[in-house]
Amino acid sequence: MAKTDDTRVIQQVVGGDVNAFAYLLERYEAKVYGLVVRLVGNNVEAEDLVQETFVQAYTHLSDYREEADFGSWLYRIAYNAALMHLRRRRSVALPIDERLADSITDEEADRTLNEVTETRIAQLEEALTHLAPDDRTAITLFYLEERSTREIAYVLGTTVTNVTTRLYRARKRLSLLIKNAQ
Amino acid sequence: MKTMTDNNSTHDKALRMALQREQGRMKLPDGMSERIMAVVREQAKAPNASPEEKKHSFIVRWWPVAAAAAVLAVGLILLPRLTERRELARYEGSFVEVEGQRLDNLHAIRADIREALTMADIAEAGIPKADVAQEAEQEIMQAADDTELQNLLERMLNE
Repeated sequence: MAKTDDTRVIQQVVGGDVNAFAYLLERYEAKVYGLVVRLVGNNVEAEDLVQETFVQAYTHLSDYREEADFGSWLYRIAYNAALMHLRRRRSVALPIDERLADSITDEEADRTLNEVTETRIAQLEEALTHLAPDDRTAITLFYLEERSTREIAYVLGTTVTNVTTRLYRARKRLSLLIKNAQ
Repeated sequence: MKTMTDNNSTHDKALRMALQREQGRMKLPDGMSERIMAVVREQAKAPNASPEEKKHSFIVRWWPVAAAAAVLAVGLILLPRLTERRELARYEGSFVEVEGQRLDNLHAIRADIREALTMADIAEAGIPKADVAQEAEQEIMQAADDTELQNLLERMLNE
């Protein structure tokens, strides 16, 4: 139903009804803002990037071909804008020793990420801020937005296999960060 | 290796809750929607910025392609003529006499030039090279009208 609404509104906007764009903005701005804040870690910069995302989406709306749903298409624009911004800012993620991350077993990662306690949730919130942009995007879209690996691959401009591996490694990195913090 | 599948919604509960809690704390900046809509409306007024006008500008951008195609078509028509002209220039000075009238317009006599060249090729292919040389020697010897000259030429040809 929502997807049908998106398609109808997109046709209206492309047809010249600029005010119809407000529906798309209202429906997606919080989600896009959430993703961008996680990527850049700064509310003011995130607001500028969300604006840039929606203005770009508006001007390129006639190029949207429904190869992915509209939300994924927006996420892709937002992700690329945030990534460009981070490159200009030369921001780097906290380096994580890959060998140490690999030393975390699957069982250990399962235990860490499933333990529903106040402390663990707070630790995870902190650990999430130290992930690299690609990992943060994949984790957010997979767990929070419940997007499929295929949709995440579209947003990140990569393959489903790459997304699967990225999620697997990101879980281990989060577990390692929590282990190191304890 | 454990793989991440799209239906593991019950996995990693703590991680999911951390993300939800983080999302819950995120408050959209006041007036952000209005500011974005104002920029979008401004954008819509700008030439070639709104989606519908962009479609038009896409059509306009085809003109250079059409112009390039036209230039290419003209080039393809003219190219054989230019090639022919360059080819004929190699036979500058050739002429044909028709009923005592000398014709030296290469373009007009190109059929005669081609015919002459074809005949020459056929003749060259049909005569062994050694025979051609011998025939030429005989013609030179016959052209020499005194014995002394004939002897000199014979010596030169034998050397």
